[in-house]
Amino acid sequence: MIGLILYYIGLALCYVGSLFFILGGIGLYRMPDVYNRMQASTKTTTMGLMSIVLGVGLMQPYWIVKAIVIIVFIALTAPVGASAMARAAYKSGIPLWEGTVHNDCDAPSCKEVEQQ
Amino acid sequence: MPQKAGASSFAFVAIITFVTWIALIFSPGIPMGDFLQEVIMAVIVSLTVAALTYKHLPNASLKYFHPRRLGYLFVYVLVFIRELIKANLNMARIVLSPNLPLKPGIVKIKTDLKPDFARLLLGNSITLTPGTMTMEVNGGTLYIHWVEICEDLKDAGDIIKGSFEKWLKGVFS
Amino acid sequence: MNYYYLGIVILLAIGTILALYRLLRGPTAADRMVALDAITNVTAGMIIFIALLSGRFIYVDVTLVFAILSFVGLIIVARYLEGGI
Repeated sequence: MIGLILYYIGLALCYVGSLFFILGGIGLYRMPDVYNRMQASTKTTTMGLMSIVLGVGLMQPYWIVKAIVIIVFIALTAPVGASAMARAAYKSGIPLWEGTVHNDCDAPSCKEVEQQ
Repeated sequence: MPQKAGASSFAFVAIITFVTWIALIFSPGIPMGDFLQEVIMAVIVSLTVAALTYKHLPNASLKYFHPRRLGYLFVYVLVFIRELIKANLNMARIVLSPNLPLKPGIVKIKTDLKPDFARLLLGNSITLTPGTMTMEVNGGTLYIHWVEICEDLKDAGDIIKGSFEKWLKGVFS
Repeated sequence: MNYYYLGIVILLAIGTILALYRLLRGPTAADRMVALDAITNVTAGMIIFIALLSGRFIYVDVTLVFAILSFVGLIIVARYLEGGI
């Protein structure tokens, strides 16, 4: 009985994760510049992957330990990758979208601004 | 005192490595004999790794296993999960609305957190919270890309950091 | 195969195709990098779903290694774009 309940919860989590993947894809398709695309895609795909892994871990209860290890690993590394991508895009000189309202660092590298 | 600090750092690294090794090696239905073998191997590996690296990790210390710090860490994880779900619903609203309600900008905020790992965790939390993404961490200054920038930039730091900084201070102070 | 699983596989495929559009179209290299990151995340989800379908635990380990390798590759590409590996 409890196994069946866990199975359906896991299935629902898998559906939620797949829908977030699609949201990330739509964000990649619609957003106007690199930084906004990055925001849309990294957040949603990280959440979607964590949700799918947790769902599979609930559907096969013996796998939950390894699933939690994967979730912790993703939660630690995905934002670091996103920051590295954003910094690389900024330093390689890709301009911000023209609708950008405010910019605190104008040089190609924020570090150079800080040192002046 | 350096002797004691070195021993504390050694023990911390050894325990973390041991737990990580066991978590990676664990698989369902493993026979008891094999599992015992793996535990012995984990002890050997963790002691070796700790002996090789503890001098380079002066911040590692057994004090992080204090129950008060673990309690703060637990609250931090709960707040993190709530903010993660909120961030994704917010992003879904932005992506699916017909006229993209974007008002992006880059803002600069300050943090008081001292250890590098605490700053890393703060940057990670900011990246996964609604509409913000850490672009660059330079000392105590963080550059944040924000999808819907607020009206008054003086409040930016409080809005972006939320309650994360408080809990991380509890863990790392 | 269970029809529930079929729905999840179709949703994952749609997500991949949307990201693939940006990978092929994207005006700059950074756009392609972002799209590739999204695709590796979807692929990791697919691999762990294969683990569920085939009932083999070993694919969960494959997912973990795939996540680690994609992270390392992402960092290397980012360093390259910054100028200076």
